[in-house]
Amino acid sequence: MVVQNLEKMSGRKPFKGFIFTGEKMHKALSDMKRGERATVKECPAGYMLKGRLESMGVREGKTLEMISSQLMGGPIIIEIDGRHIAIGKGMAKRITVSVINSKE
Amino acid sequence: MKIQLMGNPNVGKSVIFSRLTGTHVVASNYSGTTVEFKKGSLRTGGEKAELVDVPGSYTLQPTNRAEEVAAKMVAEGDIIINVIDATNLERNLMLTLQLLETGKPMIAVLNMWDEVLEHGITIDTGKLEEELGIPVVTTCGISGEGVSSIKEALKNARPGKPIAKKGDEWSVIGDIVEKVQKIEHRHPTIRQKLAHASVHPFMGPAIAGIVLLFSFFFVVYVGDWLHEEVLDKIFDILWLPVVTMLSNVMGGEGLLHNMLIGQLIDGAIDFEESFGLLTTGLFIPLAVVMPFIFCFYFVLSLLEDIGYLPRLGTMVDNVMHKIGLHGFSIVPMLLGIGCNVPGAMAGRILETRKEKFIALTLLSICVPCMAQIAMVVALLAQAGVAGLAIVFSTLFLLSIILGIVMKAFIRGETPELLLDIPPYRVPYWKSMAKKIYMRMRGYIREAMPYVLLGILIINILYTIGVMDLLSRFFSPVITGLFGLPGEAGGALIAGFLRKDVAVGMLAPMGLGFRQLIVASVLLMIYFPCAATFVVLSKELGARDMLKSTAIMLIVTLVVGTLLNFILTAAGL
Repeated sequence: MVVQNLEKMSGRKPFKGFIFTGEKMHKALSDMKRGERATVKECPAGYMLKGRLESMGVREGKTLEMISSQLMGGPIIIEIDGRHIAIGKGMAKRITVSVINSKE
Repeated sequence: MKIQLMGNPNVGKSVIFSRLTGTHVVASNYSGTTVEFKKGSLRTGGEKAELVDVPGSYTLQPTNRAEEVAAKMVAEGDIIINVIDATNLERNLMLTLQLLETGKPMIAVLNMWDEVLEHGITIDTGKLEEELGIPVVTTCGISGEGVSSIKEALKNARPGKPIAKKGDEWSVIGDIVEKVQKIEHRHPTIRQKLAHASVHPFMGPAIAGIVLLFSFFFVVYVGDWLHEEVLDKIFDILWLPVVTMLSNVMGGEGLLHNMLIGQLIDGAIDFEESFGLLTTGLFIPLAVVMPFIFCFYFVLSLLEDIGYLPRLGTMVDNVMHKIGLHGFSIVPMLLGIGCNVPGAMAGRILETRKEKFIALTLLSICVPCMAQIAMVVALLAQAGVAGLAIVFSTLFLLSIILGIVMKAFIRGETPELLLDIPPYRVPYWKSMAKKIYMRMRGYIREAMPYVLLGILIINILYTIGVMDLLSRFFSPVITGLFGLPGEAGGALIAGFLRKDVAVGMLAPMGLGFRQLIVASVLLMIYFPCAATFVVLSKELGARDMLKSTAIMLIVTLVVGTLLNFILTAAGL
């Protein structure tokens, strides 16, 4: 078993005492399942896009929860800082996250 | 002195604005743009100051048109009231830090303070004041609590500490939040559970279906009740005697009589068919259309203020993309059902030229306004529900086909949805009432003159025989392609000015079932009414307007002819 502390990134508190078995699961935001929680690893490049996501609160290091995956084939809805945000499929494909509680 | 209300979208700036200002509020456009903002006045420290409700922005580094305008407006203000959503402190502080950088005197208002507790959040406002260097007050816009303290705090507005260098902001914000805020887990409230259910894979669409059905039935049944039991009776009891007396005084005929009272049907005044300025001209907008418009705006304002629209937008996003739009463009469409004019103006929220063009063209062609709907329902109801079903399914089908075609042929991208979905809130009823009142007032101010003008012009055209000439000129199309009697041409011409009046003209023509359907569909799709036309031209610009008009013409000819032949072949 490997104990890993996620670093303090961009003003977030470090996770204390988190235990992982095996490797971290990286995937695209659009591939997350309902109820899964993850931290944002990488936002898509391109100033406007990154700026827009950042101002909504979606930044590298933030924790989010998947509330609804592609409702009626459309955008995904996540909860971040207690707030719901809808993100279009294409954008969500380009955001990489690290899953905390996998529901595979 | 100019005081500016600045903050993220959805933080309740408008409610605070309406609490601080009186009744004299002006909505205007920032020069050279389509971005709107509101201005009002406020008394503070014995002085009268101008209060401006600046468009909501997340940052002063603009990512869209509204933010561009907000960024420009900052320079023009003397004092800034930064409205912050207390349940979302971290995200809101970004704008706060940027505003602090400007060095202008500021105060911070932590709004939605009532919800902070139920989220398990505690905020040390004293410490926050220390960190930011500006006065901090807490308010609940909806109940009004704390709003009076804003005026007090304004006296102490001061430039805060410019605390963050560019690029450093989030870590500074993180530090502040850590010092000032604590969050404990709380059980989800009913509203939060409802919010989750609204976007659940099964419950979401189910809830949407229920909401839409309820809205539809409310508008149709309550609207109809208001029409039959209230307004119709008011007209019969109060107005009929007046116009009857007027008619008798004028001897029942003559030019003036025909203009004002219209034709007597069986020796009496019929509000729907007489077609005079004082009879039909008042009856249609006030007794037939207004009740439906009121019910419609009631439901829309309720859904808006509760916060359901973004969720609806998210659910329809996928389908909308197939016709070249994105989810939130459902808002101008929904507005257009009330009246196409505010629907067309709402097209401003769409960022790209392609989306705007598709949305506004679809709006003019496939979204009938409540005035038309009310009249068509009145006209076709006698023939049974089948007629209405055919009319509206044709519109629906047309919108999908037209949308897909336009999406394929128009250059440009449709942007992805990125939408903040606010929590469900109990609406502030005064704010809702004001909203409904303003929309109703707008309807009466804009619709009435056109209705009266329309009836006047049509009466004149008939009297001098021009109508007859035009009808005969167009009759090959009207009779040959559309299967309608030549006189229907008069209705089509009237429809340029007002759709409801035009539908009203069909009533005495004794049209058959099939003809009623074709005529109704034609009136709905061919051109928008004059008022909408004007707004559209401003929104689209000359070139796009021409393209849109060409599409309208082609669609009219094709659909009218096809519908006529299909229905004839079906034996109707």
